[in-house]
Amino acid sequence: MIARQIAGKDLQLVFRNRRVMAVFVAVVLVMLGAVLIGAERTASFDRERGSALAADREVWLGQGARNPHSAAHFSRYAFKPLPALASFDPGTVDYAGLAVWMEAHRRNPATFRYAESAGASSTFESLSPAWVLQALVPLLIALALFPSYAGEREDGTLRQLLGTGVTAGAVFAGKLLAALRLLLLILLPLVALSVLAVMATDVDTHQPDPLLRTLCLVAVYGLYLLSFCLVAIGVSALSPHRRSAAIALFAFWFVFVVLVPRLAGDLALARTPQPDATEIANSLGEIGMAFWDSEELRESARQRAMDEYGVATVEDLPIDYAAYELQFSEEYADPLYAKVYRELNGVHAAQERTLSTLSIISPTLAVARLSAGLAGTDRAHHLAFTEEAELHRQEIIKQMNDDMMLNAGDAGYSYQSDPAFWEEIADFHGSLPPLSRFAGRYLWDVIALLAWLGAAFLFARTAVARAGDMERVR
Amino acid sequence: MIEARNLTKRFGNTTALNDLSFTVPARETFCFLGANGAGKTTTINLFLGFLPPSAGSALVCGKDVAEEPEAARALTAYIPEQVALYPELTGFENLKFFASLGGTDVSESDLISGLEAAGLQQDAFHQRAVTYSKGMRQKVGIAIALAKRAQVLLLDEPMSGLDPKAANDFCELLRNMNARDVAILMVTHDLFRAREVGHRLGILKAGELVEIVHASSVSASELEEIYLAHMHDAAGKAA
Repeated sequence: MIARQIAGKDLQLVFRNRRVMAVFVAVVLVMLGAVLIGAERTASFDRERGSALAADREVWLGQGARNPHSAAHFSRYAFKPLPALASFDPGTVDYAGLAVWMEAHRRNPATFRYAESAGASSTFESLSPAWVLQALVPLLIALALFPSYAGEREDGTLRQLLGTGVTAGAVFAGKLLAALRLLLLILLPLVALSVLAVMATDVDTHQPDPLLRTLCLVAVYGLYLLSFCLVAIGVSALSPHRRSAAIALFAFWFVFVVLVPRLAGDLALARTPQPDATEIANSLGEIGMAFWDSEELRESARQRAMDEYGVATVEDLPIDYAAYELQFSEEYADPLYAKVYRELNGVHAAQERTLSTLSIISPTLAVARLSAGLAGTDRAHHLAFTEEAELHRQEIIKQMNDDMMLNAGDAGYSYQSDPAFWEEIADFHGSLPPLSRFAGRYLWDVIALLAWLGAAFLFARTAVARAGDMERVR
Repeated sequence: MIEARNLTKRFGNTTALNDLSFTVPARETFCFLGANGAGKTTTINLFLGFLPPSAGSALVCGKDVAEEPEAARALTAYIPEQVALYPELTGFENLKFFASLGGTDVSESDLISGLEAAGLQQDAFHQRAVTYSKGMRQKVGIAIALAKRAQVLLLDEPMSGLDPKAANDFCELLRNMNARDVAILMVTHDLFRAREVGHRLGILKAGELVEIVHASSVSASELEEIYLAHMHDAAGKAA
């Protein structure tokens, strides 16, 4: 009852603060802009993906009679499916590559990075609803709550309040309730806007667990912002004046929201440097040629073919041996490519582990990782796409090698597939993995976020008790 | 009723209050007079439960403040030298908020009546408190006490800095509070206002209650003589 009265009064004071209301309106407008930009950009990516897929299919189907291996070199693109939640948090979408060229002999990395084509604007982080919630809303909370205790102390009303018989605990409960209501007032329009935008985002791909992901996002951001509310209350309780509370909270915001995440990224890179891009390209090139440069490997292919079909010479084989050799070389190279990519992914995983560990220092790091994971736009989801694209590549290349192997007869590389055959090569549609596949991956970030919340609560509780004692003995 | 029973407060080796005993019944105003550091504000803080006593007890309507601080404070209204109000709320909103903390519903008409009874001009009811003079704040403080239906009023230098007219109005308000069965404990430096509004006047010196004077039995100049005699005695001893 008393907590409700105190919360009501605190909110009344916040609403009468023109500066806070101006910033609140500005944040809502920025959020609205971010929502519209995010929705439009995701829908535009999806449209481009749709038209690129259609164009790729049209060229593929229109190639006429052609040797299947030549077609396998010409090959096709796997376009990354984008979840509707990418409009909320684009995560790695801007720089992780949107398509994989699936060709024979070579496993290519994802290309077509938005950041590469964004020109000068690529220097800046994309404006997204997730960024507004991660970076701007904590600042709004600091601005709204810095006078929470410090203002009361400066005006003398805290002592007056405690003199009426209200306990320090009830005052804290009131302040916390006010913060929760404020949080709700901030989150409700932002969540409503985001949900509307995600619903309105026109994407073809079905994202599994949309409701679960959305609810988890609301919970994650709720806990994140609540920890900022508690820190703001605690800092205000320990500050003698409004000004010192405002300065301390701004410094806290700058260090933990702006600085630490940036430094953490640099530290992760320093601890586990990115492998040289040229070296990777050379490794991939060497794998592609390894079979063809090794007479020993080629001999083992010949031997296996003869054993498999029970013949004494290659000429006696009932199949086209050139195609058999092509498929053999693919199967030889596949695990070698997998090893190179596993090592590369290991580097990224080590960098992510550093970031994840450092999320205990900054809740913004934890929430950024959780947010992109829940939106389905983090590196784990990107890797799921590249793995699926690779499996698809292996399947369609085998399909084309098999066609040549079984149907070429003596024609070899002069053999041309019937144009109708191209229709048998399936398009890559891709699927988005369910959340349960990655649940364990975010455990540490959840722990870090909860640890931050717990520490913020204890800090606020201790600071408030101290503030009550300080007022009484004044 | 306000009662101190052998009330003692020590801060380390310093004794701020020593074995203080007195009673203020309903309808009476008891004023504490004394120099700075005599223990006046410490007494108020002990009755508000802001400080725990080192020995003895402070009772409000029979409730020991140290043992039942919330219950005791629920019966108490406190008006400091500068009544603290939320500057961005109006006088009426401040009153409504502080009245609501008592847990009882007070109607808007009762609140308006309280502000009227406290002598606040009607056109000031809905002005933000940031525009209020000290006298207007003290009136809102009295209105809060009225709305709370406090049985005990603790005042810490409430008339310091008030102009003579505002101080006179405030004295009248205190008399009205007495008429409502309220027991008042006021600490002040102002001998003349204390004599005007108080029924009994206690002189505190170095934490000890050295004399209690009935206001009606002394003139203003006699009170001053008594007070100064104690102070000079203190100065002499100190020298």
